[in-house]
Amino acid sequence: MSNSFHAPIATGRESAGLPAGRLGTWWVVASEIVIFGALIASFIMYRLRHGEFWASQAEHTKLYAGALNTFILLTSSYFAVCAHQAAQKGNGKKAAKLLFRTILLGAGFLCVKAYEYTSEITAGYGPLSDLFWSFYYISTGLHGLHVIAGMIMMAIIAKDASKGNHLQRVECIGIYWHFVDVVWIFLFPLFYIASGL
Amino acid sequence: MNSEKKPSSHPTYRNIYIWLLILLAISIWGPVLALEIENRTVLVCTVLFTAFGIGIIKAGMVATWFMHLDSEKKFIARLLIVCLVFMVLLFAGVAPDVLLPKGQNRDLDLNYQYPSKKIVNKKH
Repeated sequence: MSNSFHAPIATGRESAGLPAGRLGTWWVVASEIVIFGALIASFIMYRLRHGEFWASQAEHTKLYAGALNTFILLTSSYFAVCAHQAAQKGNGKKAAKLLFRTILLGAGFLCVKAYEYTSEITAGYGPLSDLFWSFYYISTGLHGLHVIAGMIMMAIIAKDASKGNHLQRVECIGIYWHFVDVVWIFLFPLFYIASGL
Repeated sequence: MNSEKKPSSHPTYRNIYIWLLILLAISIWGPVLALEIENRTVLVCTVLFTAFGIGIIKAGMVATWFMHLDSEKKFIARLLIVCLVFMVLLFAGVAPDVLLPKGQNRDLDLNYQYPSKKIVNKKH
């Protein structure tokens, strides 16, 4: 077995005019659109079908917790794009610092979500209470898993970036993180602020 | 092949972030204030625009400038659009079964009570 070091393929190879790593990230995003898109489209269908009853259920979600989480994710996206900018300038240490701030905000998002889940479940609104709540827990839970996955990947990339290694990966994790933000931008009005309809 | 992105001119990231926060504030307070509107049509339009319309604008800003779709290869945007079209196809294909109360092979019970009785009405 050869002990020689091989650079990751995504580092040096291009495909369709894009670095393979970035192209792969876009493919991940595209497949995620189908997953979350199906969930959101199904939710909208049932929301239209069960109008008033689901509207009454949506009144029990915590608007200000959802708004705080949107603020947190938008801020984390801002840090992620600044990290990309720093990486483009070759400043790995600054990129890593900004990525760690993004991770911290991701943890903040999960804490708010945990608080919401706890208060909703103790109030009797569990995942099996009703179809609305099943959609709520599946959508926000799946989104939460993506936040956790993003935080783990970001920690690995930030560690490398702080040593000046693999700076091109900062952009890839940024694209993924912004997508997670975009999904939340759509989940927020669906579950929290359309209860008046 | 050239993997470099096209140079793009866009507002600074700080300005984009500030605009996103302003839009977030509108999307929170718009529907809340709209509840005071008595005309049902105006209420629905206001809530739809402030909640979902602004949501779409925010998502567009993030995708265009934070994800750099404005300077990315065109086929990436097309790829994402194809996925969104699949979402619309799913909706269009399944919606008649879900939304229409009567169909060729079924007759939905419109008086069906959804199992809300399981929900304990505690102070939330």
